[in-house]
Order: sequence, then structure tokens, then C-alpha cells
Amino acid sequence: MPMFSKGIVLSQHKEPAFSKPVVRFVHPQTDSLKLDLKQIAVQTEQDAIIELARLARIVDERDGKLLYRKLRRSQGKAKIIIADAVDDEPYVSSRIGPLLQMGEEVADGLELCCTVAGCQEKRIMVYKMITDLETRISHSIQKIKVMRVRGGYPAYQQKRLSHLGDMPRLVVGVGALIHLARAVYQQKQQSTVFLTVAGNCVACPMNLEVSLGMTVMQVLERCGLTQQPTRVVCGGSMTGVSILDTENTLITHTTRAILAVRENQRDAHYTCIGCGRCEQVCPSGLNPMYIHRLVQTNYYAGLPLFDPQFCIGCGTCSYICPSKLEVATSVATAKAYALGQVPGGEEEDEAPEAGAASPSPAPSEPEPNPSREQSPDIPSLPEEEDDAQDDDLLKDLPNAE
Amino acid sequence: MQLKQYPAPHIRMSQTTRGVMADAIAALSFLYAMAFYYHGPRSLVLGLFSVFVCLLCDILCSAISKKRYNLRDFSAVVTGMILPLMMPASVEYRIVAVAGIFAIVVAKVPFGGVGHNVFNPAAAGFSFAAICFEDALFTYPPADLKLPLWQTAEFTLATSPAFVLQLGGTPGYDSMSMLLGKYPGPMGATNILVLIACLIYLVSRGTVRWSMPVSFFATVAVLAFAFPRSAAGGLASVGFELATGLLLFGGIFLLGDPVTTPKREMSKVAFGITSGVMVMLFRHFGNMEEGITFALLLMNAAVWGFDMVGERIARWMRRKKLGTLEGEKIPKKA
Repeated sequence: MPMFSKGIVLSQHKEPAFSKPVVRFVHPQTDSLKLDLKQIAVQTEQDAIIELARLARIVDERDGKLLYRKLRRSQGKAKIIIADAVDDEPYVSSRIGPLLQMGEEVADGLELCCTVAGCQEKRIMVYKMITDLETRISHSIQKIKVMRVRGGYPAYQQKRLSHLGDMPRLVVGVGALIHLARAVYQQKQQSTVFLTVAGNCVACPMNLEVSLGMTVMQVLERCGLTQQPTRVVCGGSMTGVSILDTENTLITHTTRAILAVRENQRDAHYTCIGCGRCEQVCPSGLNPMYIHRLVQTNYYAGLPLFDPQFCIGCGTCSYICPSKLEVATSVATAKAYALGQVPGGEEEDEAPEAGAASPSPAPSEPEPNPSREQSPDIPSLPEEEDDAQDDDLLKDLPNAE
Repeated sequence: MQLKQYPAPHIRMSQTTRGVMADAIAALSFLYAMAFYYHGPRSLVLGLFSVFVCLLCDILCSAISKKRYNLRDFSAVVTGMILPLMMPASVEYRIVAVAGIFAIVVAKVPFGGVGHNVFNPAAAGFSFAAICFEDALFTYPPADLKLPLWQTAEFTLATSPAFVLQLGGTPGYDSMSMLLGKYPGPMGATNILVLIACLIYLVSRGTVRWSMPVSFFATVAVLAFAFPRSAAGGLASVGFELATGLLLFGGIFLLGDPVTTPKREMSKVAFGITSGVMVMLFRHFGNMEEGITFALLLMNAAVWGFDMVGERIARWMRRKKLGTLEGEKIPKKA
């Protein structure tokens, strides 16, 4: 009996953006920022690469961590380097697109990572379940073997046995690898990020290389709008954040896509019919239906049985719901409660007052807040955090072949 | 730019609750086509009348409780279509009306309407009618008899093979006519081949999960083989028990109701097995020829228990699997 779902296969809608060339849309001042090589005083080649990654302020777009920290942690430990181009969310092709068109730089970045880690093995990981591509993804890019992750949507949750086993590994996003190669060979700071602009309001969907700190509106105007969108999303179609102020929301390191969508959906007030589909698709084996019901009725005391803290925020439960309920929002509320972050306020009181209203926004968003006010000239950096734990090396990774 | 804030995810599956109900309606309409073929237009009029009664009750109840009625929610239509198919084609209109009113007014709305009802409305309505009008509900017109729209009294009504089985006899119909439904029986429950096609359709559309009907029918088959009611022996008993009465119909359309059945796969299997045992107990020791609706109503009351036990097992499995992965990050108690 499948305890954990194998995910859902989504129709990917990558096509108009994917096959077009990646267009540069950069701020001329930030684009020409060069590294100051006089600061570097290290002995070994490995340390030089790590120092360059630090100076170039490269952030891995797949988890928002600083690349030099990941490199330092894997130094001499990782046995295999994996370039992550798994774009499993529909409409998003901001990793697989640059991979196919800037293969040399990705290969250079992988080679540099291998030098740091002191290993030979390297792979590129792409998502297999993309059926609507006009361009074929070959089996090797720049003589590096391409692994294909199978399975349904939360591709990172596919935990089938891998031939890689427990081999210590370092997984870096394709964008970070390109920026690493540029930092080392061209002494360029990371001032850009790759993102997909798509949606039914976008005149010319494409993959862009955009300067950090540009506003969402600038990017949308670059691609053109055919009609007024009702919803603009920063991030993927499944996990992204719907934003209101396009003029003041800036592009950050982890922005993977901007979607402008117009839909004329009518509010159909269906009730939950208990079909159990959300339970069947949940990759963590939760029962979102009961969690939703408990949150709706403010019965937080019943939550521990349902383990909402295991939610990974993939949103499959809301996607599959035939009654179009906001199940994922309820589960996020319940997760925040279970982890001690009482929704709605700071007080440590009992739950019923705290998490009262259902239309309150989800308290824990999976992405960092994209609407930080910052000067457009300085690329924003995530806050420094202690690197004692959360080791990326032994993190479970999807199986690939 | 007029933007609204929406929570993630920003794409949704195209199937709606309305689509789920429409699947059931499509499957049921095949059975009405077969009933029309055997019994003439009266079967269709019965179906329309029952749907009308159920919809009217639902709308009136919504009006009384001052809720806005969602016309696109077809659950009352499905209940209304299921009810006459479980009855003989010669049934009087008032019996259908009583069953429909009981189903909606007593079994569905007081519990909170769609999605909250504890008991299956169609099963409850049929059970109520079966207690009140036992003679009228369990005598059937012969197959291939075209019935007039109004008077049915002048026809001789026959008993069904389910009744013969209950008396300990062996039904005298060959397997081909059993498969095609050429024997006296409930209007929609005799066409075994069409019912199997309906099951395949519903399972392939994802409206009904395969686990529950399969476990239910397998349990019934095993019990029928082990404890045959007729003298014909084990294998023949399996065929008779599965093909007669409301068993196949109930296993597909009553057990396939998502609201009144457990949610988790293992709970569904356990529920199917227990329901099968319960139905066979009713058949062996009950005093009516068809006890599946009573068995199902009893089981419906236990759905919450099945779900909670399933959740506990699932939590144990989840912590065993994920607890090692995330280590101390998981709080012991919320």
C-alpha cells in the first residue's frame, strides 16, 4: 500500500519560453561589476575558488544559500557534484533553459566544484516528465552525463533507490554554476538571475537573464502584456507568492519565474465532499482534508494526530482538490501552529483565538519575502546564518537514471 | 492593474466536484437506458420524478436554513437517480417520494448537507422505504415486461432470485440471463455486465477508488464460497450471491460515495472487508432478502473510527520513515 504518494504528473506548459534563446535584460551599471582580486590571499586552488565565490556573492538559487558556504562544507568530502536543472513546476524553465544554451559555462562551473571537492564524478539532473518540449534534451551535455528524475510533481520527494546510494554529494543549481564560472574566468560579480516570464497575459514568454533588484513591472514590460493580469506570481506556479505591488517588488536571487495570469473564475462555493484525493497525492503522507477541517473549525487540539509539521508546502493538495478549497493554506496554518509559531500574533495563548480567521494569509511562505525594499545597485544577499547544521551533502535526493 | 492576492498553488486541476458527480450521473444513466430497454418509459419517469423530489427537498431545506443553494452541486441528483434503480420498476410513485424525502430531509440535511452527512442518503432512504413497504419493494415485474406509466396492479409480480436464495433454494436462471439481467429484480441492479462497465468507467475516471469495491466483492465472494446458502455448492453460490439483489449495485454506487466512506487507502480496504462481512451476516441472519443498505448504514456510523485508526497507523509509519530523516527538528508535541 503506498504510504507516500509518487506525486502528480502535471502538464508542464514550458514550451513558448523554453525553446527561445535566453535574453539578457541587465542594468549596465551592475553588469560591469568586477571582482577586486587584490583581496584574495590564499594558497591553494580550492581556497581561491571558494574565496572568489564569496567575493562574487553567488547565491544558489535552488535553496537560497551562499555558494561559498556550500563549497567550503563539501571541500574534500563530496564524491559527486550534481548540477540541478529539475524544473518540475509548470511554466518554469529557468534552469533547464540556460543549461541547454550555456552548457559550456555550466560544465566549467561543475569542473570548478569538482576541483574544490576533489572528486571526478559529475552529473546534470533534469526532470523527465516534460512532454511538451520542442527541443530534445540530449543524454550528455558537454560530455557530462544527464540524469533524468522521474515521477510526479514534487520531484525532490521521489525517494526511490538510487544507484548513487549514500554517496556524499553536492547539489548546485545551474544558475549558481554559471555565475561561478563567470566569477572565476571573467571576475564578474553575480548581478543577474535567470527567470522565466510566462502566463496567458505575457505577449512573449521567454527565459530572461535579469539584473537583481529590477522590479517585477520592468520585467513584465520587457516581455509585453497582452491583457491586464488578475494575478502576478513571483516564483513557480505551484509554490510561488502572489504579489500585489509590481512596481515595488524586486527580483531576488531565488526568483525563478514571474507569471502573469488572467482568469475569469467564478467563486464556486463547493464544500468538501471527502473524496480523499488530497490524501492520495500528499508526498508526506498527510491527510490534508482532516487538517483543513480542523483548522476551519478552530479545533487545534486535534492537530497532533495529523502531523502537519511534515508538510513540505508543495501545494499538491490544493491543486488536486475538486472542490477548489484552499487546503494548502490551512495545512500551512496548522504547520505554523504545530511548530510553535502561533498564527495571527505573538501571544502564547490557547489556539482558538490565535488562528481564528481562515482568510488570513499563510504565515509561513516557502520563499523569502520578495518585496524587500533595496537599492537596485546592490544585489541583495540573504542573511548570514550559522552553518553548523543543515548539511547539504547527505540530504536525500531524488532518484535518477 | 487590478491584482488580487491568491494563495499558492496558482494552477488547479480542471476537474471539479461537479465533474465527480457528473461521472456518477453518466454511469447511472447507462443503467436507466437498460431499464428503459426492459421496462419501457416508466423507468425513466420514475427516475425523473425521484430526482425532482430530491432536488426540491434539498432546495427547500436550504431555503429554510437560509443557505444559498449551489445548483451546480449535483449530489441530490445522484441520490435521486440511485433510489429508483434499487426498487422494482413497478414501484408506486409515492414510495419513491417517501424514500427521496427521507433521504434528503432526515439523512442528509440535518447532518450539515453535502460533505457532512454521516449516513449515505440513498441507503437511508431505501432502508426506510423497505421497512415501510416491504411487500411492494421486494416483488418485481418479470424482465422484458413493458409497464404502463400509471397502473401496475394488474400485472403478476414475481420474487427475485435473492428471495429464493434467502429461502435456501437455488435460483433457476442460467448464467447468461443473470449477466444480462433477464430475471425479476431491482430496476438497475440486474444488468451485471452494465454494472461492471460502470465500475470500470468510474475507476478509470478516478471517481471511485478500486480498493474498496475490490476488497468488498472479494470478501463477499470468499464468504459465499465458504458458507453457501444454496445447495448448489460453493462456486455457484459465489455467482449467485454476487449477481443477485443489490450487492453489485450497492458495492459500486453506495460504497463508492466518497462522503460516507473512509479516506485513507488502508482504511478503505478495511472498510470494504468489514462491509462484506456485515452484508453476508445480514443475508444469512436478516429477515429481509436484501440487507446491504442496512449493513452499509451500520458501517457508515463506524467510518470515523476507521479513519482515526488509519491515521494512527499512518502517523506511526510516517514517523518511522521521516523521523530519522529530519532528526530532532520534529517537535514532540504541538
